[in-house]
Amino acid sequence: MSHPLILPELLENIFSFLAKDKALYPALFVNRLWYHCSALILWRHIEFSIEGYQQNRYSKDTSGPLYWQLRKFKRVMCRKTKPLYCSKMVYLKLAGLKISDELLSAILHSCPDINFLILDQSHGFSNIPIIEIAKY
Amino acid sequence: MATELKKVKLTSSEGTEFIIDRKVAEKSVLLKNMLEDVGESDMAIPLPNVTGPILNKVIDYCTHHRDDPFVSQEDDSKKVSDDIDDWDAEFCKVDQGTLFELILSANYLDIKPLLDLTCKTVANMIKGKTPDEIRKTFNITNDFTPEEEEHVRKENEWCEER
Repeated sequence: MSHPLILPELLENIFSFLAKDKALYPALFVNRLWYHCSALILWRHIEFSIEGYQQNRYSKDTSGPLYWQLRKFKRVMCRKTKPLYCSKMVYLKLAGLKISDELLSAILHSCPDINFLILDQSHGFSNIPIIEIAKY
Repeated sequence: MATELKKVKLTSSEGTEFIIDRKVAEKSVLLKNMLEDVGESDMAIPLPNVTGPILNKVIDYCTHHRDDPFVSQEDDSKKVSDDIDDWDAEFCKVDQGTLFELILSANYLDIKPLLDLTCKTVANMIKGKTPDEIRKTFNITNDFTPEEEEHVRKENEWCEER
């Protein structure tokens, strides 16, 4: 029998258990096959939620590690060449965050499969992307 | 009740015969479908892809979990790797070769809970390791060029926890 770690279907099943714990990042760099299998899962479901957003008790400070990640995310999403796997995105949650029209617009144009775009308690964007969402 | 007592004969790749309860065999979707198609038969079912020691382990697992309800596929975003109970954790304390053979057999026999358990065990071996440590653990060669690696970093560094 062959090795399970060279079969994409099995690798994807293994990686699906790492998605929630955000433990997929190192798997991207193991080799090409691992990259393709883990990036698929990583990009499918993305969440940026600031702690305490549900009670509206979060800090408006945008210098924390979550904003660092969000800025990196925005940078790759708003580049001319879109990330290879962003078209696989199905779910994106941006909760309690300051986000821009530019980011929302990039998502709407580059993620054809997106089914859930959750902007709970987020702010900073105008009606323009919202009207665009309504046209979906 | 009648089906509970029925026996099923399986032969491993070396030809070793195993006689097990039909209910235990039916944890495998492959065997369940075969048994439904064939109906009553005393013929042994050959499993040329599974060795005796591995089949023995698989049968142990299916016997322990024979009364578990069938759980449907969960949403990917809710799957975690640390919900393994003591019996299952003990079951997975095997060498890497055995673990890999269990994954392949669970996949071939279509035993989803066993496949998930063994895949979770591998997921736990990946957790907390650097890419280099992962490669060493599983004896994997890095086939990235430095440019490709840089490209992967650029597109995905947003998900790195700081």
